[in-house]
Amino acid sequence: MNHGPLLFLGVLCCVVASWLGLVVGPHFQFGNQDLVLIEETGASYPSARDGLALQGAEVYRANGCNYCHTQQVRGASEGADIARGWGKRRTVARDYLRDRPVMLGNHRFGPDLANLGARQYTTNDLYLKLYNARLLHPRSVMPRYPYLFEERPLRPGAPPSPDALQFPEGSAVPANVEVIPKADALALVAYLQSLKSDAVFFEVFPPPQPPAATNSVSGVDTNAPALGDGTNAAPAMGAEAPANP
Amino acid sequence: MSSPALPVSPPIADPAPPASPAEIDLSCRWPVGLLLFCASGWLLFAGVVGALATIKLHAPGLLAHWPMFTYGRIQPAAWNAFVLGFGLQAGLGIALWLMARLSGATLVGTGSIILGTLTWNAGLKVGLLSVLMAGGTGMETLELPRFAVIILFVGYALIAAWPLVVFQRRRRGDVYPSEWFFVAALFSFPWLYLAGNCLAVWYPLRGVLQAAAQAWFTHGLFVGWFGFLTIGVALYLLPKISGVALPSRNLAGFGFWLLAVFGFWGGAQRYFAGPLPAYLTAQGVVATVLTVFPMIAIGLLVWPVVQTSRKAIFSVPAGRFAVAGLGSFLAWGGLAAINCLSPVRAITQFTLAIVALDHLLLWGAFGLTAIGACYYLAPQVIGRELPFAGWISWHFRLATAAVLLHVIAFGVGGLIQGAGLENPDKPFIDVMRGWIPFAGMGTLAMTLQAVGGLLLFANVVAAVVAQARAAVVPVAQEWLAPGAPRAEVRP
Ligand code: HEC
Repeated sequence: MNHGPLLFLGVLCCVVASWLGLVVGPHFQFGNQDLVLIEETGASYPSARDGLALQGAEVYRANGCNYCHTQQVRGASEGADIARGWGKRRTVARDYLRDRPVMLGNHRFGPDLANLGARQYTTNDLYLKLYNARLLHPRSVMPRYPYLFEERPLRPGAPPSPDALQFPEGSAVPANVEVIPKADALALVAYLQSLKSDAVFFEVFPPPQPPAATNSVSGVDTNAPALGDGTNAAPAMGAEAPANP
Repeated sequence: MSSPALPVSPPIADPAPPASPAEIDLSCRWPVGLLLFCASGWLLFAGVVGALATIKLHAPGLLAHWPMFTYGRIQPAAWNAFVLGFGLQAGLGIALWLMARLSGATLVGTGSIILGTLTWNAGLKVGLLSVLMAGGTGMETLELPRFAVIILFVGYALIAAWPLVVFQRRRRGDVYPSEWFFVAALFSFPWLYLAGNCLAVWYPLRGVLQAAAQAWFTHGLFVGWFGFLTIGVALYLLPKISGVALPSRNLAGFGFWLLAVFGFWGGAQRYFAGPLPAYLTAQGVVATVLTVFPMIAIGLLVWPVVQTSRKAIFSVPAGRFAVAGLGSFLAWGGLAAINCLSPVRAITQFTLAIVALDHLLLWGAFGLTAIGACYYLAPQVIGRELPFAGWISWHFRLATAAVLLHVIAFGVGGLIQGAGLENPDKPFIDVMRGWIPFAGMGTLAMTLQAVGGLLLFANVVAAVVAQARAAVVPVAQEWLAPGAPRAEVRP
């Protein structure tokens, strides 16, 4: 090991081999994955986000929501995600085809958001969560994002703005101030409401209980890539999975 | 990036006798001194900002009106300040000096290194500022925007080419094992950082492949930069301080190559059961478990040295730092492998425990070793004793206590968090309250780190100022002395 060039070449090979194996190989294997057509709706999945939600994704990235929130649901046999109601099925590679950047997240200081749009949140509640999460959960440590809102004094006599946040009873918000979401908050909430990875297609077997809504995917034997394209095609739904409404 | 300057010729040692340590230290004075100064400044910064970020995990209203200080921006800022500010610059500074010493050749390219350091710091500053002002890319450890990364690359090339040149001009017959690790680290970083940035951020691959590229990069950086440098520094410092030689060159080579072969394959296990193909996460698991073997080799290599001369090693702060750092590294290897076992990772995934593991590697293994090395080489490079040498032992106590506290608190907190997350009947808000006290301990740990960073920074600054004054004052006195030539008033 006294030969500099040999040392170089050896290390180069190690780095390049891992790069080929972990990045380039998978790219050639499923980098050409395509959208799937959901027959019932005629729409392709994952569906495109509208402009506002796309801007919201930028707000999400810029404020680093992904340092506390994941956007990935593990199968019922691998974790309690589905039992917690964070999704009906596990997430697969195809769910993220349109995301740029993909913000899977590594930490769950807050709940998973992969299916937030499918949860029972009013728009106002989402604004409240961002403005001050303690208004909904007094013990929450979700950071406050007051800078996404404009806090302005109510003009005496003038009617309150229709866009102003509706605060829950008994919250300690000064009565003479109204809080209006700024453009970033509008976009962010549109993005949050667009978060849904619950479409059912051939890669993600639906839960066994409901007989309807299964096998409802066209294109299985036509233009879609074959099952064995290496993505997590295993049926991951366990019995605990909530019934498909 | 940095290899073109190298002739591909058989490495015949320069027949000239090795340069003396004093000559080498003198050649390193300004470039390595500058790198040390910048690195210790970033260490302090990373400690302060890291403490602020950890506070925000349990104090959601703190500084909430300033977008710059929101958790999702200062957390990556603290992380990148440590990795790119301290980690890269301390690593480069140490590698420059040690490569020169081990090769017995004086450092060349001083001007380029100084320019490169200034460039690097400028790039890092604009990059971090941009992250704080909403410009982060959203990819962990690759947050800096493209323009900043390009500046970093220029800076890196200007610096990192020179230790390789010094290596090629070495005047000693055989290469010391530390040098393998340094060469490998210097060479891996630009490749990893470039490929990671290109495929995850600049020209992103489709969908979750971005996450695969990011995971590959991060793990490669962990092993290929932080791991290699930790080992390289420890393999130099411990025998040097104790005067006991490493027992086996072959064992060192075995550890080096195994680590190089397995080390870069990990990473994807972070996405266990996530949307990445299962075979990728399985590869991550296999690689991380196999990495235990080189770790054992390194442990066996160093153990006899530490064993036979415990007293000598522990009497020098750098020795204590190096033992604690290498110990953290081996512990990291073991814990990372344990964390791959499916019953364990089912609980630790997505929790504070993962943060604890990363912390053990970055602040524990690399941090402690590099801080020790800074204390070791600063007096020699700057050319005078550190003015507050008594603080060094305090820094050692603070830094090791901080690492232990952080890793244990986040480890235990993570297990509690994970057990809660896996229990679907426990409301999320209760799970969250369960780990808050541990996050509080993390804040305490980061505060200790910040104080320690201040001790190092103050020492380095004071030594540099004293040295500069020693250089300037006599000249000024001579110029201003009564008998000195004057510029007389012209008629
Ligand atoms: C410091 C970590 C942290 C950051 C950063 C963070 N959150 Fe949260 N978030 C939490 C915690 C903890 C909860 C759970 C408590 C609660 O619901 O208030 C939560 C809850 C939520 C919820 C409710 C989810 C549910 O299922 O009830 C939404 C929506 C949300 N966060 C969105 C965001 C957005 C958008 C951002 C970025 C602007 C963000 N969070 C940043 C910690 C964080």
